[in-house]
This record gives sequence, structure tokens and C-alpha cells, in this order.
Amino acid sequence: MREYLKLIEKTRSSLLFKYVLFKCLLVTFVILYFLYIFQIIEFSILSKGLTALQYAKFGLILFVFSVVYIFILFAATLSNVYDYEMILFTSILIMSTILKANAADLSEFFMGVSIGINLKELLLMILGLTLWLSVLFSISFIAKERISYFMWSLVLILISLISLNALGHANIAIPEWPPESLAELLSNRVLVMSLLTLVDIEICSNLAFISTITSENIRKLDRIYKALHEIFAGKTLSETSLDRKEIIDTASKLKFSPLALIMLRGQSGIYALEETSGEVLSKVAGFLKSRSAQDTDFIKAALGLKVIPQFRFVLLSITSSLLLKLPLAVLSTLLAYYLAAVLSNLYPEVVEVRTPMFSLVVFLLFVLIFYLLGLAVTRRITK
Amino acid sequence: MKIRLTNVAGVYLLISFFGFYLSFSLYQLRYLLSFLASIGINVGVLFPNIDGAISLAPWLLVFSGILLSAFILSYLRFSMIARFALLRLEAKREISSDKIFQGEMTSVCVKIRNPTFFDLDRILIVDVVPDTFDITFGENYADTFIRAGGQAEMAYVLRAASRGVHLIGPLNILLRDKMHFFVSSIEIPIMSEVRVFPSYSDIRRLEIAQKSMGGFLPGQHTILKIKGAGYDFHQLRQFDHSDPIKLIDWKAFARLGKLLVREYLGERIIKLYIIIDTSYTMGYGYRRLTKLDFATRAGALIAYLAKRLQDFFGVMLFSSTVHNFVKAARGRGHFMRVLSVLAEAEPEGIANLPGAIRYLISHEPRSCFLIIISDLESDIGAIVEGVKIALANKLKPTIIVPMSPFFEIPSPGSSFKQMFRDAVMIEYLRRINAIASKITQYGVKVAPVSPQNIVSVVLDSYIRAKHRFIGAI
Repeated sequence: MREYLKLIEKTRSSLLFKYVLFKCLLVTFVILYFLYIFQIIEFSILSKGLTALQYAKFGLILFVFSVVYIFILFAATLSNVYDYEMILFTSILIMSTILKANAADLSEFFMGVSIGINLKELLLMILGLTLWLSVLFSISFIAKERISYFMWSLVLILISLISLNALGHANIAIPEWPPESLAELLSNRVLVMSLLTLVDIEICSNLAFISTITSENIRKLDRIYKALHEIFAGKTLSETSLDRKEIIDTASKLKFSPLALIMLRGQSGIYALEETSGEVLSKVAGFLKSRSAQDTDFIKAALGLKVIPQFRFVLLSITSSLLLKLPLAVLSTLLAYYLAAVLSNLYPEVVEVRTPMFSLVVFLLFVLIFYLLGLAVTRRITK
Repeated sequence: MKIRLTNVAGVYLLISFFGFYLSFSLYQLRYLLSFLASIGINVGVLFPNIDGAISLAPWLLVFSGILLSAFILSYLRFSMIARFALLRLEAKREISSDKIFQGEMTSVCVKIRNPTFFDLDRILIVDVVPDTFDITFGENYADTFIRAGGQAEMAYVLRAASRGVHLIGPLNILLRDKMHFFVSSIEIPIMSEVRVFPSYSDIRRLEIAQKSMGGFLPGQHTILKIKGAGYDFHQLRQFDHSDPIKLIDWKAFARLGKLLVREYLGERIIKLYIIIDTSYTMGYGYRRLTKLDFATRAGALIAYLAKRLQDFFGVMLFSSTVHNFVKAARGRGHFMRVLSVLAEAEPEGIANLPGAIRYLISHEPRSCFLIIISDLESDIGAIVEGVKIALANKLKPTIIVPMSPFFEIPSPGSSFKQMFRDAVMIEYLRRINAIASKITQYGVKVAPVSPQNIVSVVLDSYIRAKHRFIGAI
């Protein structure tokens, strides 16, 4: 059985290498995207975002203070006390207890604070904070491989960029629609950003997909390796002491009734058959040995080695689907808007055809027809 | 086939529609600015580049349009794969042994082949295993990618923890796309039956004891060998005038010059029926450790012993009706049939002992020995009537009564639980004694048993019957 343990170790290392590779690619794409965004905006916005955090902290303290003050005021009014200075100091005392701070310092803090902030500065701070939030969402996406986090990150970036552009703190030179030449189209920052966003969504989603499958298989191999090691080589001293510690910890937290203990033992079927876990493990070991002698394919399947995907096929599948989907999506959209433009040129006397809503309606109709046609074709193929 | 949207698809669509909304808001902003300017409000101080932001609107419209188109294309692709490939998946389950004893292992191998020309991006395969089995090695699920024409194979080892006829399956398959936008699932109805016989551990213990005693079974039945008209040679002894002349061994006389009589071992074969009450109350007790489980274990041991001693043995499972009946016979094949019937025992209905005895009489008109394993929790009158009918038809029963409190109430850990258990036991014993006194007056033995001694008491009853030739043919 040693050779199977070695086989699992080897497969696991190979999977781990691939997993790290996919993660690195994912990080690279996300960093590239953020680098592009950060060179559009002014860098000072990010530091303003951090300053906003300080203000947010202050705002929170102020909110708590207001609540405390209102309660004290209400209580004092009920007791016919109208000494407002005393009410203020009582509130500060309670706040100092809540925050575990010196009351004199807190009093100075409340009395001496002056906020020299204008509306534009406040807006910039909020937008800076939004950008930081999008960075955090992206980090979560990299860690958890959930594409929805990346989507939220993109939404926040989009809002921040448009607002910063309006405030004059983002350098996006936006040409009039439609562009006059191809060079103008290709040098357009909005176009580059849009394409980068689209490609990032698609590539990062696919990288997240392949990373998830790889990590699932690594975890599965880990579980099976542990089980196989326990069956054939027993537990190491550190594992045993860890298990014992876990049992002690669990026992100190939970007290099982005798009935629950019997039911728990019965759950594993060990009690019912009067077998100890050691006996069961030795039976499993014997069974695995005899089965592996009869059929080596069986043991490989049991080790989970026959469900590991072949990555060259996965990558091929990802590439082919991206190469088909992305150009088709861009083409169909442009075609829909081109159709809207043609219609507006055909009927220039109709005011409605010149509105953006007309473009959207034509686009949606086009998409609907495209969808229905696609569905009909799908059903025909799958019949 | 249903295709469900995931929350990721929801966020994606939200972004797409948000793009459209933002674009239209920017278009509207142009009108709002001109209105504000007309009433003397200039926002240019705060937003110096507002016109630049407004000119972003058409780009946003196109970008959102591309996102929506990409989404629809993804849906069409997934829909095609789900409708075409998912329904054409070829699944196969192989079980190394579908007839095993409780506590033994069997291996399950599941193969899924994708014969279509579509890749299955992310497929979660779950083979449903009932909780009557313990998965001792491997996993019954896999999350993988199956390429066009490819195959995935998973295997695991099961330990039968509970007696019965169990079904493994169906196979649940969940398909997701690469972007995790859509989910579709199907259930492949491939079922595999595994028949789990009662535990072999008691029989194995008996076999080990037999081997250690040089091939003889331990206990009272070892003195069963008596002289008689059998075929196995016993001894040669001096001729007595009362002996029939036909018994003289003339070859021995020619060799030794003495009149010797050849004696043979008597073959007293009995016919017994293991009658197990499968009423719903027999299903009480701990999981996989009910009164019925113990009863079937004891039944399996008796059947084994009867097979070894070449007795005729049959089995009957009854509650309100007779569920299974195997007429008494001998041999290994018959033993396996009896085990198979014992594996099928399921607690249901209310016990009807007179009905079961009448059924037995109609199928077995000759005298025989009955081992009835019942908790006697049905009507007392019916139980007594059943016993009377049996006795009237030369059937000699012995009733083994699993005492419910021992099977259903755990060992007390505190004085309060001890009190509760004692109270229940007192009431229970009062009832059992009342029933036992009514039955024993007809000369029928009633043996109350606990989980610890049920097997030995049943074994003892059989040996005693064998010793006394109860139900002898």
C-alpha cells in the first residue's frame, strides 16, 4: 500500500503546482486591471479614502454619543432637571465608560473638534473608500474564488470612475459616439477599460472555475491520504495527541447523556456489531488489500485518482468557449446598435428614433430574437 | 429539465442592468443640468468635468449590451449541454458482492461516461447511500470535469451496519457552467440491491469454539449420540440372548469365534421452525440494535446449528399476517434461503400469533418444535389462543421474550434514571409474569431474555429440544 500513498502524494504535488499557477494567473489579471484603473485616477484619492475611515470612526463615536445624550436628556427632563452642562458631562462620563477612555480627554475631544471639510472633499473621500472596498472585494475573490465578489468590485470601480471623472479627478478622455476613425477607437481609454473589464470577467471566472476544481480534488486527496495512512500505517504520535486533545476539549464543552452516547456509538454501527474502530480498520485494510490484488483499477478509483480532470482538456474547453463567446457577444451587440442607427437614419423625421431608449429597445428586441432562435436551434439539436 | 440561475448570475445581470440604468441616468443628467442652469444653479463648480462623464453614456450602453449578450450566449450553451449531454450520460454501478453478512464489507464502483461531443464543465456526482451502510473508505461523491467522450470513475468501500434488504442509489448529478451562472440536476435511477444477512459474528464464535474443541460443538448437545438404528458405527459388544439374531456380526464371529453384536448410533433428527414476531413493537430499541435485530441474529445462529446437526429447519416471519415462510428442509442452499428471509424482516403491523400458527399448520401438518421469538406485547388472549392451537396440533413451542426495558432503556447513569428504569421494570415484569403463568400452565416454556443472553437462551432451548427429541421425525 506504500506505493499508493506515494502515488497520492505525487498527484497531490502536481495538482498543487497547477493550483498555484492558476492562482498566480488570477492574481496577475486582477492586479493588471487595478493598475490600469489606478493610472486613470489620481493617486491621492486612495489616501483620501483612508482618511474617510478616520472620519467614519469619528462619526460612529458621535452617533453613540448622540444616543447616550438623548437618553440622559430624556431621563433628566423626566426628573425636572434642566442643567444642560451636567447632562453633557454625564453623557461624556458614560461614553468614557463605554470606550474605556479618559473622561477629560474625551471632553477635550468633543469640545475641541473642528471639521474643516467641504462637500467636494467629502465626495472624494467616499469615492476613495469605495475604491478601497473594491480592492477588498477583489482580494476576497482571489481568496474564495467567488466570482460574485469580483462583480461587486467591478460595480464599485465603475461608479467611482464615473463620479471621479465628473469631479475632474480621473483622466478619461471620452470621445464622442460614434468614433470617427479606427485609431481613435483603439486609443480610447473607455474602450480599453471596457474590453479589459469584459476579458477580466470572463478569464477570471474561468480561472476561478479551474482553481475551484483543482482545490476540491486536492482536498479530496488529502482526506483519502489521511484515511489510507490511518488504515495501513496507523496514526502518528502528533495526530494521536491532537485527537486526544480534541476529545478532551469536546468533552469539556459537551456532556453527553448515556442515551446520546449509545446512540452516537450506534450511529457508526460499531456498537451494534460489538466491534471496536481498530477492528473495523483492520477489516478495511484486509478488504482493500484483497480488492487491490484482484483489481488495481478499483483501488485507483477509490483513491479518487480517476476523477481528477485532465487539465489540457479543461484549458482547451475554456479557450474554445471564450474564443466563440466573446467575439459573438461583441458582434451581436454592435450589430444590434448598428441596426438602431440604420433605423434612425431611415426615419429622421421621427423624434423617438433619435433617443437612446430607441437604441435600447432595438437592442433588447434583437437580443430576444437571438435568444429565441438560439433556443429553437438548441431544441432541434437536442431532440 | 429545469435550469436554475445562481446568485452569481443574479449579480452579473444586476451589473448589466445597472450599466443600462447608469447610462440612461447620464443621458437624463444632461437635461437636468440644462434645467438647473436655466434657474441659475451652476454645478460646474463641484463637477467641472460633468460633460465628460455624460459622454460616457453610449459607451456604457454598449458595454452593458455586450455583458447581456455574453450572458445569453452562456445560457444557450448551457441549455444545449444540459438538454443534450446530461440526458445521454451513461452511468454504471458495480458492486463486488450484493449478498453480505452484517458487518462485512463490499465495494461499489460508479462509472459515468459522457458519450456526447460536449464537455461537462463542472459536474457533481453523488451516489446515494442509505445510512444502513458505513462508508469506510473512499467517497461517494466527486466534483469534476468530464470531457467529451471522457469518463469519470469513483469507488468506495461500504460496511453493512444493519441487516435488511437495502437499495443503493439513485445517482444524483448536478451540472454547473464554468462561470457558475446556471445549475441543472438530474437523477439517474440506477438502483442496486444489497441483501445484508444477520451478523455472522455469533456463528463465527461458535465455529471457533468448535475448532478449539476438536471438531465437537460445545454444550449439552454433545451427549446426543445414542444407540439406535442409524448408519454411523458405534461399537461391537457381546451377544445377549435378548438381542435379535439379525444384529449378530457374522464376520466378527468368523474372525474372533465370539458372537458379537454390531451397534449403531441413533439418528434422531428433529424438525424445528424459527417463528419471529415482526410486529412494530419489535422494531423498538436503539438504532441497528432493535429487538428484531437480536431476534434475527438468534434465528441465524439456530439455523446454522440445525444445519450442522442435520435437522430440518424452517422460518416464519409474522405480524398481522405471515410475511415470509420457508418450509423446513436441510442443506446449505436452504440455510442461505433462511438467512435471506431473516434479512428481509421489517417491523410492521400487530402480532397475530393464532393466525400465524394456523398458517403453519396448513403448510406443515406433522409434529415439530417451534422457537417463537416475540415480545408478547399484543393481546394476551390471542397469545394464549395461539399456544393452545399449536399444542392441539402437536406443535411444541418455546417462547423467547425479549424484555423491552432492557432493549429500550439505556443503562442508568444517575439515581433518577435508575428509579425510572426500576419502575418500568416492575410494571413490565408484572405483565410478563401474568402472561407467562397463563402459558406455562400448558407446559410451554417462556424465557424472558435481555440483549446479553438472548443468543445463549435461544441456543439452549434448541439443544434441550434436541436432547428430548421434541419435534423428532
